[in-house]
Amino acid sequence: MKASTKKSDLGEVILFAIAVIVLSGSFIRLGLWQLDRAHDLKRVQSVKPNSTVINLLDVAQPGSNLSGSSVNRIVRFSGRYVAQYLAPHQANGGQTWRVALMEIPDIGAILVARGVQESKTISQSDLPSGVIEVVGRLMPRQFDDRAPTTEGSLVRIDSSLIVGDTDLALFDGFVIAQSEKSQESDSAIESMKRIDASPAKPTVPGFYWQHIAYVAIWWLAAGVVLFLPFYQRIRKREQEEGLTHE
Amino acid sequence: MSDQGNESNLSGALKRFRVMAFVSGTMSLLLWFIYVPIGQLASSDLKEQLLWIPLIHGYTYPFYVFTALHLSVKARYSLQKMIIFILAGTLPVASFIAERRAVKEHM
Repeated sequence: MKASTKKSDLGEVILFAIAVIVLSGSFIRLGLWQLDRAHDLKRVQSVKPNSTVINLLDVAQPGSNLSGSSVNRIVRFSGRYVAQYLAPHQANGGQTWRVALMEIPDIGAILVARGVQESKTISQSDLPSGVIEVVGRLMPRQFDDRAPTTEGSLVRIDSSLIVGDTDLALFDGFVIAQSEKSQESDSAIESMKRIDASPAKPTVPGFYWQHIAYVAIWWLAAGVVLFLPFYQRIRKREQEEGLTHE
Repeated sequence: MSDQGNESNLSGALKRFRVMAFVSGTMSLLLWFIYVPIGQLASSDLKEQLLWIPLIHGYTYPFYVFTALHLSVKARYSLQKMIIFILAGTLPVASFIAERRAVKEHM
């Protein structure tokens, strides 16, 4: 009888210990996750938006998510435009933007917001031909729909919307073109009004100190979970002592 | 320690818990009924102006947990009651209920 009671006690203790380890470990991990987010946010905010022009492939790759530190970088790349869309109801007073898909040879394709569209229609023949070099600001994909779905237009600028239109590997995010240059004629393309490429807001939500507060909360929760077995033991001893005195 | 010392310790722990239950409860109310609905419905500018709400809530909750823990240890609460008191800080009205219950028990 005593042996079986001892066995069940041991089983309970082991289960309790596993629960404490799993819970405290999860809380510590959640704290570390918040710490990573705080560091990501700090890194994004520390990027100088108008720093030097870098190669697109140094900060982004097709088929993978755009990292927080890549957003707002001024990038350079070249390729051929293969398709064109309108993106209505964009910022700056509800402008319609002309967005084109540029194929970067042997790499993939990226959406480029080329400029402000003045007319309501767009033709694929408006696309400049030949190899074009683009310099512009790398932006995160848009998450909220801005316009109703219509033929040839994008409800938001997000490469996942055009996956069915192309076999090319697509980059996450898009580029707001600041300049385009035809490599064949070595001349700048200045046929439309450019978009004001103000830096995008950080893609990691919240404040640095907000994430640090969550780190404190999660680690405190882990501390509480680790403290509970000791508290339970103290309480048990006190109750036993109380019974003995009585 | 004498009974008088224990009582004064408990009274101090209760006072600190009451203050933090009020602050944490108020911040929870603001978070759940102002910040969260506005974040879903209103413009992102307004949401940005109200970012102080989750920030203050985030910093007051650990202090609430400390005071709930201290009170629970001093008042020799059971494990379940201690956990309930700690979790009460996460729900808008629960910390006010926990505060009333603690006052009823110890005052």
